[in-house]
Amino acid sequence: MRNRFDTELENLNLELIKMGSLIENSIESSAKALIEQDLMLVKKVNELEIEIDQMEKNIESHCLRLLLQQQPVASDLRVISTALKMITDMERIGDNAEDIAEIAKYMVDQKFIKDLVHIPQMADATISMVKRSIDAFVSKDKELATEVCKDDDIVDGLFQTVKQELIEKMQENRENSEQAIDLLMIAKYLERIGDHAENIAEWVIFSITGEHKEK
Amino acid sequence: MKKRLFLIIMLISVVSSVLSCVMTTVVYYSFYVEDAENKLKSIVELTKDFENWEDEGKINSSVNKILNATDYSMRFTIIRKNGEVVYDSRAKNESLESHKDRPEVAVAFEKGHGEDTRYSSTTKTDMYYYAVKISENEVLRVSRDIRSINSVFVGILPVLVLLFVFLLVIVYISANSFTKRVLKPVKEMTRSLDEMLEDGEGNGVELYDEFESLSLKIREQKIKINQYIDELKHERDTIGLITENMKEGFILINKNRQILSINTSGKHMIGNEKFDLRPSRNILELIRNSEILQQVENSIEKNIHTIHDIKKDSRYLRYYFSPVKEQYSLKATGLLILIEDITNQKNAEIMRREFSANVSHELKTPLTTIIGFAEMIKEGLITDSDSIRKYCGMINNEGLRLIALIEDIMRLSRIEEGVSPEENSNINLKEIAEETAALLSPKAEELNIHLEVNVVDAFIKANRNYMSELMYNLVDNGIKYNKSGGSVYISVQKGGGKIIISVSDTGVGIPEEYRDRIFERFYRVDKSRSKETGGTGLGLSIVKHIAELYNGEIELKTKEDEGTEITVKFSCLQ
Repeated sequence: MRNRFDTELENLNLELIKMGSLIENSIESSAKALIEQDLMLVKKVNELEIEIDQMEKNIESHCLRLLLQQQPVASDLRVISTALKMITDMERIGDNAEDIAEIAKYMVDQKFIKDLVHIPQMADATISMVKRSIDAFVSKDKELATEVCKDDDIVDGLFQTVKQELIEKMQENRENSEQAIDLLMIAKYLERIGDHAENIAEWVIFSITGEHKEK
Repeated sequence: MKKRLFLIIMLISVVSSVLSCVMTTVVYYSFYVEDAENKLKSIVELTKDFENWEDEGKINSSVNKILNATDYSMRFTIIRKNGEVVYDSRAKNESLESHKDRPEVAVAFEKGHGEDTRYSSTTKTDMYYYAVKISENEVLRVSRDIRSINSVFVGILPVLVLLFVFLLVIVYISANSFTKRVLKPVKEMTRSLDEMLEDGEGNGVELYDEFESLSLKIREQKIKINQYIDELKHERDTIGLITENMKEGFILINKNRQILSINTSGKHMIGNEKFDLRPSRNILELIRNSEILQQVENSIEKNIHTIHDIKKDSRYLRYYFSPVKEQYSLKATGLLILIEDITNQKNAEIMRREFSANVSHELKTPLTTIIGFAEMIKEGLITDSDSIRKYCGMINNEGLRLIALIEDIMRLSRIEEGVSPEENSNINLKEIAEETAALLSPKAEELNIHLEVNVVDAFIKANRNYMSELMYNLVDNGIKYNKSGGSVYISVQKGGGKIIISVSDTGVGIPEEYRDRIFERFYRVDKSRSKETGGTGLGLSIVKHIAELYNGEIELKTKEDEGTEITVKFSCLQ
């Protein structure tokens, strides 16, 4: 009985990693779709989003089944409740990636009002945060998770920079406004993704130490 | 073992003590009953003739006399033949039922005496009755109660319990010490098994003879096991050494996608150096790249060998997926992943592609110009002779450029083929440097560049033409990629057993990202290939090949916008 439960937990762990790799793939693709103005990647993000949603449902029912049937206690319970919280954040990241791809779709044949400098930087920073938060989950690495939490400030800082730049562009020429707003939304989505990645990292810390960081 | 031994001893003693108690009780009881009956009988037999049983007063005194002499109660009854009770010492003056059919009474009337033991409803105990005929018409019956066996047993019980507790203590203590003593050698043998096995002797351990063969067997087994362990260790170390020292990444997974083995290069190439291999870690925990994972699934499911290239950062990695099969089994039981770094091959491939593109471009440009002008003249678009002369001049120039290019290529391939020793002669690099400077000074003057030569006598055994070529190309580059008013320094020095040729300029320098590539054929920093500077893009390539031909070393020092210094060092011994 115990043995079967352990196998189930192991499977749950693997499913979470799989979902993690899906969101990594999704956000990477959407950032690339925006920067390289590639419609194929937008399509890929849409497909990934469907898969991510399905995965969330599967993991959720898996967790609930484990809770009902096995009545886990102590660290096992923590692992499962962490999983339940993590998939919500992961799913949100997937949604945000899709939102970015959606805007990127409209921008495919527009000329950028300025060379994209800080948005790709932001994208890189958030992708790295997502990647490392999953890494921290995989290797149960508390230090790495703490690092990820700190990195959120970098993304927030970049968001402010991008915002300032776009304001200048809008003041320069009113025709820039539409694209500037789109870009601002993308920056905001990226910033949100960073927040979700931070949440994931916090849940990883919780699953290791049993303490959830209070903001 | 100890517990069982203890329990068995305990059980045996308890059972035996209980049994003996029961037996004792039974035997004692039968003695007791017999004794009680005999006593009663003798009393009755003794008193029936000596005492007066005639009238009630006398009977009473007789009975009292007898009762006083004994320590247990008796009941005297005199019964007539018709069953009427004449006297009863317990139920006086009461009318009792007829005793005619009491067995002992009936037998007594017949034979003179009779006895019986039965439960009496009057006294509520087991009673023993003994009756004798005292006259024709009367029978004297005496009875006493006999305790039942149960009540006897209950009487004994406290003693029995006491005995039992006592026994328990004794048995506990003795069984404890006994099992300890019996098991001591076994315990000690276990404890000192390691030492015993090491030196082959049970030092200080008193062994039972019966254990001798056992310990011998254990020793033999131990030796055998040690051998196996050594073999396995050796094998593991060998495999470990091989995989660990492989440049290629090596990962072995089983059919559940769990990692069985991974080497350091593998971790490094995947970019997960910190990965530590615990049992049953899934491949997912190591790699999350969907392309690779898909290949893993594909390879295991379809049981096929696949190769997949992945670009990771600036490196190209080639993954080989080989399913591991057990003999005769059709399904893959695992997967072997080898990762090879093919960055160099990829780069070489890219370079080759660029090279052929460059060659065709370099050859095509002059030809296009020539054909263009020739066509214009042929079509009669240009009629006046001055223009024709001008265009023909251009055609001529392009033709010369083409020839120069082809000559450069041919020279390069000649240099590549090597040089026969006969062609080498003792030459003075000082002369060559001075000749080159003289040859190029008009060009330098034209571009307003100052040439400075600082040379000493330095002899080297080499092909004179090649050395001139080397010098010419270096100085020519120094002049071409210079700024107006700049200078070029040519120096030939000797030092540390080496001849050092150094050409430095105050020119444009070479941006850092191109420094590795300027010695490639046709490679030019200035991609536009403007004709201003001329040149074929082969100059430094030729320099490099000539230097290599004579085992020279080339050093490049350059800073953008400040200048370039190229140093070629040859060994003096040549």
